[in-house]
Amino acid sequence: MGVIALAIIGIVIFFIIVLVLVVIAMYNGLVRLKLEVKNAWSQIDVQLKRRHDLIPNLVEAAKGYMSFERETLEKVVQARSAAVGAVGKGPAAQAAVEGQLSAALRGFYAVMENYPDLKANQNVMQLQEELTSTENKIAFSRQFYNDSVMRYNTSCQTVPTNIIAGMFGFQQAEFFELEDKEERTAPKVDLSIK
Amino acid sequence: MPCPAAFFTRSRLVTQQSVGMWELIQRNKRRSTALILTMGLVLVATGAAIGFSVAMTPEGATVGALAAFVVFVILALVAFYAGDQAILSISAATEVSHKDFPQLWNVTEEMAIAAGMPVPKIYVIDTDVPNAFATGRNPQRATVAVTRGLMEKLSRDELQGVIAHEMSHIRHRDTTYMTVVVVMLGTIILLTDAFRRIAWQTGGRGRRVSGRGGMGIVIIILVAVLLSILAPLIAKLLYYAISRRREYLADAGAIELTRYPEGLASALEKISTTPGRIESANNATAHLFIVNPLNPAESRLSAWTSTHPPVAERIAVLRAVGGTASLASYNLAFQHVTNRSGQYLIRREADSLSGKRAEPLRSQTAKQVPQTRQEREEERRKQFIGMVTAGAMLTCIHCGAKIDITGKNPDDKLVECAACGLFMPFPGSSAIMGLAAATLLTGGAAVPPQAIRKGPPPAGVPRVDGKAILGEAPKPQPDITPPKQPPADEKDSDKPEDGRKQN
Repeated sequence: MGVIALAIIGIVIFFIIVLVLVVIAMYNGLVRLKLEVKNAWSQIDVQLKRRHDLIPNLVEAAKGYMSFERETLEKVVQARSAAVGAVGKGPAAQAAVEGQLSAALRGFYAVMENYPDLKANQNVMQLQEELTSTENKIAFSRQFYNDSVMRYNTSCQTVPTNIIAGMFGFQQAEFFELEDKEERTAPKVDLSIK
Repeated sequence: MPCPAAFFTRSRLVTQQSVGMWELIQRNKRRSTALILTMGLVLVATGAAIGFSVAMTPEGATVGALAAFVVFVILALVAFYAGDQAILSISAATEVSHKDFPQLWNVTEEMAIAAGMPVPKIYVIDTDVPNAFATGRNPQRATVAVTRGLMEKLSRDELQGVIAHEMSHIRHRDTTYMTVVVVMLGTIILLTDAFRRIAWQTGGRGRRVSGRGGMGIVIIILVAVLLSILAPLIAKLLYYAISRRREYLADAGAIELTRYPEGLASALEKISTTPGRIESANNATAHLFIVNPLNPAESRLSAWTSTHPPVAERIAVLRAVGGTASLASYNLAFQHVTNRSGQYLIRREADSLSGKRAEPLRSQTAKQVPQTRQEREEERRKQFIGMVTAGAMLTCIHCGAKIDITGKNPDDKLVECAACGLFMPFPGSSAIMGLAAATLLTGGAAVPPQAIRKGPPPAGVPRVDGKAILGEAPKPQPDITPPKQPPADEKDSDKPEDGRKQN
């Protein structure tokens, strides 16, 4: 009788240990995914800030040529200030403002087509490549962020891990959707000389 | 035709929705480990067979197995740690910074952001032929190299597609595993080649097989001989199949990063239709490039013995991808275009979408179906020859240029050196194996068929029908010394007796 009882206790303890290990693994998985989401967001922040910093250079270079396009230039400058002001307010708030900045920049590029001298300027060409790249980087970091959020949310919702998530208070993250619908349908602008 | 890679789908079942890049990478790691273990077993078994046949004792088998293992480990470590630098220096690639090539750097950085990886080191190869490759044992120590020709010919989106493909290779750890696989393959070929020579020597002496263990020993020797013939073939097939599958998956990974399949599709089109070969690429490193550098516009016929799937097929699959740019949609497009089962790339529990195979889209590759039985046999024979000779390079006796004899028919009896016009007898099958092993392990570029003649054939060589032919069989000259090969023991039946009597 004693041996059987010991055996049963042994098996129960074994299963408890296995359960604890599984729980630990799931918790660590959730933590890892959450950190990835955070990291992805900070990457977006970096690229957005880069854009904020590049814009004044572009405006300066354009001012000399585009003296008649005051409105467009001012729109860009204002949108930029708004974007800088929204830094740190979370994905949803920033999404709206950054979308407006993207729209203002698109208007600016459209107007720039009428100034071939400006387009041919060496500095402006370099700036254009940098700005195109920054726009792309923002898009890709947004993409990576949304992918991370999807992985994390999936983990929070699928059956084994959602229990752990509930127990330890893991909240779902929010996606970074750009409000400006036009951004989605606009074709990619290839500003390279090919 | 059943694909040998189907053997490796015994993995964890997952539903279509949940297959993502992470699961894919894990599954590939498992499969590659299984493949490497299988090849390792073949390697050790070959070593044991050799050891046993030489010593006729079980201790010999153990020693042989151990020796094989040690050789493999040394080569693998060297390849693993020095491989990146080796291929970069062979390719004459120079590292570049943001200042030198801002667009290239930006494109790569964008892809690194999309992948969540650190930015790899970027190298540029100074040649007009467009191509690109990636090496590196993990994302932290990764390198991407592109040619100058690639940057000049492709637009920004196309360049981005190519870089995305290369970085997918790194993400999927293709660069890690395939290096090990190639080294294993080379070692297996080397060992089996050595074994066959030794076997003829010992067999020739008519060794007495004694008493009780006699029958068993004979069986073991037979098995060993069989192994020495089959092992390299099987290993090569596995290598090519795995390499091809990883190319498809890298394409899928690329569009998952860029979300723009047309970019990569038109890039592949441009690369494959531009003539030219990369001089410094060889069979061991070919799988690292985006399009086979040795045969950019390959047709379907060479599908079995190529490290890359046919380009036209890859382009067709990319252009057929619709909906989301996920692995699942790539897999769907893949099934439609190639008529292969959905389990080639990923295995799905709920096969609801592929249960009734939809009408395939018109494929861009002209499927060359052999009509008559003779044509079918001819094609099978060609494929077999291709398999056996894959990777073998012959050195011209006169001018020292390397000639690629992959797929060349031994019935031709003669091989022409493109650089100097000298004809040499086709080497025997044992010599071919040695050449293949040597090429895999040491590399070296072959002379392209359209090469300009460097100089005339040697003057004192007898000519038949205007062709300069050297009578002596060329000895294979790999850097790794094989066992000494006395000419008298060469007993190959397909080697001509005397080159002068040919044609």
